[in-house]
Amino acid sequence: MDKITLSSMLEKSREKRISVLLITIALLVLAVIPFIINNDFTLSIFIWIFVYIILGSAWNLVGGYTGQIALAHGVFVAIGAYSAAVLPKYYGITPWLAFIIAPLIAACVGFAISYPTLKLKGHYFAMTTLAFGFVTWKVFLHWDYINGAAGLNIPFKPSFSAMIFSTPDIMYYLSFILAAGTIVLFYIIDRSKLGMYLKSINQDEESAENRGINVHKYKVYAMTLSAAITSIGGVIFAQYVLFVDPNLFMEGSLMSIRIALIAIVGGLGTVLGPILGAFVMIPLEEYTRAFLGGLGRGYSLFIYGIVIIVIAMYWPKGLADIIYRIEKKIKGVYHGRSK
Amino acid sequence: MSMIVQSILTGIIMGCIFSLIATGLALIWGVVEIVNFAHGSFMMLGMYIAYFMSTLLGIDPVLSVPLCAVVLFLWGSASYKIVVTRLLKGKLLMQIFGTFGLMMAMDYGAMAIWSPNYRVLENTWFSGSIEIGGYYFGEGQLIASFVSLIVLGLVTVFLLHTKTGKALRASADDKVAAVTVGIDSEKMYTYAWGIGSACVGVAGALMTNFFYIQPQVGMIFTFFAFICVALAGFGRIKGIIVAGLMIGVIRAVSGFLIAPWTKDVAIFVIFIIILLLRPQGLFMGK
Repeated sequence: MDKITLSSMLEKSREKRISVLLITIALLVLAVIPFIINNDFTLSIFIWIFVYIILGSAWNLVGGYTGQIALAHGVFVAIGAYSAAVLPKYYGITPWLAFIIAPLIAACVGFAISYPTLKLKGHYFAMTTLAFGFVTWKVFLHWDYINGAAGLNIPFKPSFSAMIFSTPDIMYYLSFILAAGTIVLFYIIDRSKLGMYLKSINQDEESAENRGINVHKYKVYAMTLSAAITSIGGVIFAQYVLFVDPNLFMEGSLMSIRIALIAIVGGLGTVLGPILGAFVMIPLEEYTRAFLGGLGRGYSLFIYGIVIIVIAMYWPKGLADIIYRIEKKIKGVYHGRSK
Repeated sequence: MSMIVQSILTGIIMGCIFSLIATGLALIWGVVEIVNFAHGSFMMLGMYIAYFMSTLLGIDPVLSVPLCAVVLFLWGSASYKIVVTRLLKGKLLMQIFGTFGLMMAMDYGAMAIWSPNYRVLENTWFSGSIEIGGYYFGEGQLIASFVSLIVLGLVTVFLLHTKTGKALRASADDKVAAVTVGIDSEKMYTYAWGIGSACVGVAGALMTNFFYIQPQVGMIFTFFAFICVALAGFGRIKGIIVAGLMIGVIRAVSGFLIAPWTKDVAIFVIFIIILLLRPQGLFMGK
């Protein structure tokens, strides 16, 4: 609709400059935070935010862009975390290699679970992934190789090759860089042909099929890629917590839900969504846990359930929608004045 | 060998109860076209009702069955009216997420009220076991499968021979046509949720005779019910019974042959294989 005139092009480049400026400021602030804050609790919250930006963005590819509810991402986190724990323990290999091995395993699993189920309606995929998470949890609990329900400890011996650091700020930067990389990757995907295909599948599967898009192929592709990236978050998880057990990742599918919720609260199918979601949800959860912890687990998770119902009923577009609306309004005012 | 026969028979008995649970899910899925992820939580509610009727008032779980049916009917229709009507206007993704939230709220609400502890009912009317032809059966399981079959029969008669039942089936078959002949679809949806929930509530009450009671007991039964319906296809209670029996037998036999904890894993693996080979379900044509 907009005619391409010199002034509109100038406006565009100006908008672009503003957003580049904003992003640079945000990056700089985040980069100097470890110098300003010496509080380990606050730093740990930031590390979790970065980890969940990776996880939420990865889920967003399946849940947001493609519109398929996957409820087994905790399993892929577990694959990453267990790879990081098992490689040095049993094979004397540096956990850095887990950044390659874990995504490969996770991609295979993601492919295997999504290939048969994504041919069918959305319910099948959601329920099968949920059941898959449950079953994998059971298997992990009884699997001697990974020490079953007792879990695995990663001995705290700080060194670069063990990917364990004596101070949390190096972990902060590592997770920060990975989160930034994930965001850039999804920004590229968002603008690529793949992103467009996925969005059109989400909007109307039949018409996407009619336009010659192989719907099943792209859905499986999204799930496979998403699983691989999710496992990278798992590697960081293990190296930061230095302990893995099946309940951490798969009990009651809670982690899978948290990952999904971060993308949903933030805004489905947007690059910005999981970032906003993680920045809002993780601190909120950490503080409510400190606050409601005394009441017992049931209460906080009950509230979690109610929140999910309310979001599903009244607020499916998430936080990003508010930002975009404000942005539109500002632009509207701006254009109004210039004309 | 006789141990295998024993586990097959036990599986068949459990299968009858799975069929009842699955029929509840199928009714909701078929008529309202939404999968209730909280289905197992409804069963959990039925279990707690029967448990407290027994421990507080001394009423046997078998006698609590009608009460559970009524309470769960009301709970199911209320869930529909309060939550699901709104969800139906949204996307599939939010429908799934919404009923999932319902499941979380119910399970963890129960945990907050009744603690996560496992409870078991003792000294009910049917708590022993009996021997039939060299095989042993829990009395609780037997009475549960017997009553399940009766309730399944009642539901079938209701669906086939009453006006409301026919209207329900019509809505499941073709919504638009059902509305054009004057069927109140909103009312049918509420009935479907009520009756579907009542079915699973009855199953819950019956299971307290031999199964532990815990806030998160339901989820695995939601899977079983879903797998039954997915295997059987819609609108076929017969198919659901066969699928329910199959799941019961696979569970019991794999639990006996491999290890008790592999029961649920085996069902999942077989489900995935069947999805790969026959995505339209086992008993559907084409």
